[in-house]
Amino acid sequence: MSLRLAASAVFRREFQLFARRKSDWANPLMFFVIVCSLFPFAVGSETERLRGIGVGVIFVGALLAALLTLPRLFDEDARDGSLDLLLNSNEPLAMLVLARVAALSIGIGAPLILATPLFSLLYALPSDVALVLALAVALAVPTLLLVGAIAAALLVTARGGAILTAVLVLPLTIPTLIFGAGAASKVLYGESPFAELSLQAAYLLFALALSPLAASAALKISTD
Amino acid sequence: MALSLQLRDVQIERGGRSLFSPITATIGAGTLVYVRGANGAGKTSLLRALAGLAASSAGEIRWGVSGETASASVATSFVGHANAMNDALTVLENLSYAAALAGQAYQPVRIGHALDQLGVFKLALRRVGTLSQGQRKRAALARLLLRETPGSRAWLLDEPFVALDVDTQKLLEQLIANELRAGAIVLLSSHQSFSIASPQLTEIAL
Repeated sequence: MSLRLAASAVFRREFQLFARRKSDWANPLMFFVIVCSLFPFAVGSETERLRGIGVGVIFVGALLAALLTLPRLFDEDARDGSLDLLLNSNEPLAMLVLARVAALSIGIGAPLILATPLFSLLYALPSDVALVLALAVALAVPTLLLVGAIAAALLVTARGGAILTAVLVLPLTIPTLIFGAGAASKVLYGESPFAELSLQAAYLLFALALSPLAASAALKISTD
Repeated sequence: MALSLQLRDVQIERGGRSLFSPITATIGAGTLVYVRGANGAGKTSLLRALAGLAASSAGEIRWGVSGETASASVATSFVGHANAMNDALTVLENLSYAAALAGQAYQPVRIGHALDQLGVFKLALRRVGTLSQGQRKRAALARLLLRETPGSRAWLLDEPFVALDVDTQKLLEQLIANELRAGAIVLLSSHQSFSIASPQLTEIAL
């Protein structure tokens, strides 16, 4: 009962912050827009070429945009002392971290997922590819944030931790990158994306099971 | 709901160097403990360790509630240098978040009452970012008053009088005295002088 209370308070607070500070979710979205709209200028606007790179560019753009939000996870709270409230709660820290990552995944992920089909148009991708790509992004963003939570927790008090977080997290997101982009490419060539999407979902579930525990342990160590 | 605290050979290390010689003490309900020490003596580290926010490097810290061993998260409320309030949220939002993490359902009346006791009721709907340092501190101290019943939690106060004006300092001294009478344990560090009417007073000199 009180776990539900605490977890929903963590979840709600995240959305209160999103409502107050629109830049929290608008900045990653703007970054995504910039990355996706710059590539056609650089590589040329032939339809075939755009279609060839579209899946990769959009997927990588969305991942990097989500990566930008990782410092937001714990850094601000460590500075203003709210992190102590989280650490000092009698509820399992892993569940509270999970609530927070879930809220962040929705707040950051939803704009990116909605923007994905739009950019698919820009890259001349057919609508079925756009849909699968949006689905792949929807699976990839929570995975990245879950894995990233571990690194963000480890580096919460480290100076210049943001770039180190990225260095630690990116290799671990390669499976979801391969499967996600692979799924959309399969559809592009008229095949079924089911296998890749399943593997991507499996990786998400794996992260879902392990990373809250790892992140909460890391948080305890780094704030000690 | 009698509170108790036992320290046995508690030591804390920072950077491979132990901050103070081992502390052993038994502290009962209604005791005011003044944690004294120069800058860097380890006052904040000790208070954080007592709050369960940091591990002690040696020894044992044991909180007791009604004779049973309890975790620090149940037995204590900690207010440190940082106010634990997000600038973008209102005072009420911040306090209800803190209350929920402490296991309490949303009770705006209780929060309002706590703010009222510190004279900042009218700030409840203001964003913390728009408040002065003293107002923030007062709002942060209101968190202490959100406990279930008076005296049910030990207060760990790290420099609570910083940024407070003279009247508010008196008010806080009064609130601490009341809480002690209700059976709480209050540990505080301060570089400012204060006077708190307390049945029992102990000093931990670091």
